[in-house]
Amino acid sequence: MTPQAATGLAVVIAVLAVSTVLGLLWRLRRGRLVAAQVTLTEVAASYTAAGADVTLLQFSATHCAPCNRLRANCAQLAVDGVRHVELDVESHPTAVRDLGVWSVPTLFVVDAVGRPVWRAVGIPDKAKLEKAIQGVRSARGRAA
Amino acid sequence: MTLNREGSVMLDPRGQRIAAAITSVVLAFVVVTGSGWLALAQAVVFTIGAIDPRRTPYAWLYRRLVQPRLGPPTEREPAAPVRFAQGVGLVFALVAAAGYLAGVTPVGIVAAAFALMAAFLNAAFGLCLGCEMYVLLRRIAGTQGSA
Repeated sequence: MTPQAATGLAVVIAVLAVSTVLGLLWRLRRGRLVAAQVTLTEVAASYTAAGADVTLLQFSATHCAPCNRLRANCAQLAVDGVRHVELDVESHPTAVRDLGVWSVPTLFVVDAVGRPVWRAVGIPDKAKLEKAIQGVRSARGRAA
Repeated sequence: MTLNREGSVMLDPRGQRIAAAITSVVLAFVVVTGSGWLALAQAVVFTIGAIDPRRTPYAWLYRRLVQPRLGPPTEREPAAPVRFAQGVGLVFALVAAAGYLAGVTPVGIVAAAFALMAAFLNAAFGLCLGCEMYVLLRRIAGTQGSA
């Protein structure tokens, strides 16, 4: 084996190893619901559906396949008091910046007063999302 | 040809994964052999993919050999992000080809390695780097535009 081929082979192995670690981390993070650490609550509040107990605030882009799948999930969950609001990242740059959206789709579970409680990048598991919605709703019930 | 309701071309996502896998193998060969001509050949494939991802030789192989065994796709994806990604791949493949052919091997290695990384992440994990970068790039562009 020539020195160049040996170097090349080492580079290929290194690239595949690094990519595998990155890919696994990405898969682990993707779709996970985490506590939304948003301080600018009035931003989310301005997009909260009036009279809704819970708003599913989704950020999408025009040509984004997972956005379509998330939309379908949210549409199914948007029943009695739960509303789904979808914003295009291109036409809402201020909301994108203020809510710290870096990739699409990003979903916020927003409570009745417009406070983002949960956040997920990618498509959260539907059962877990449903549970999160229930949690936000019952927290509201206790506060009232 | 399958179109969505906005009239844009829709692709079988499994075909894109297979194409990314073949691209990964070709790019791995480029890095091992240091062949600028092979990088240039991949650049031609990326060019076709940036125009219409269904017309590349990899897509043809998929339709002839793989799709008949899998059956029709249950879902389809818009072609626009794929075309964008193929365009990004084209830039890296051209830089790699130029580097190798001009004898500036490190440039060739680095460019081909980045292209290999993107293709492998797409093939193995379904991660579309272009899709992930889209909002990021827009936000950076927006910051510069408003400054």
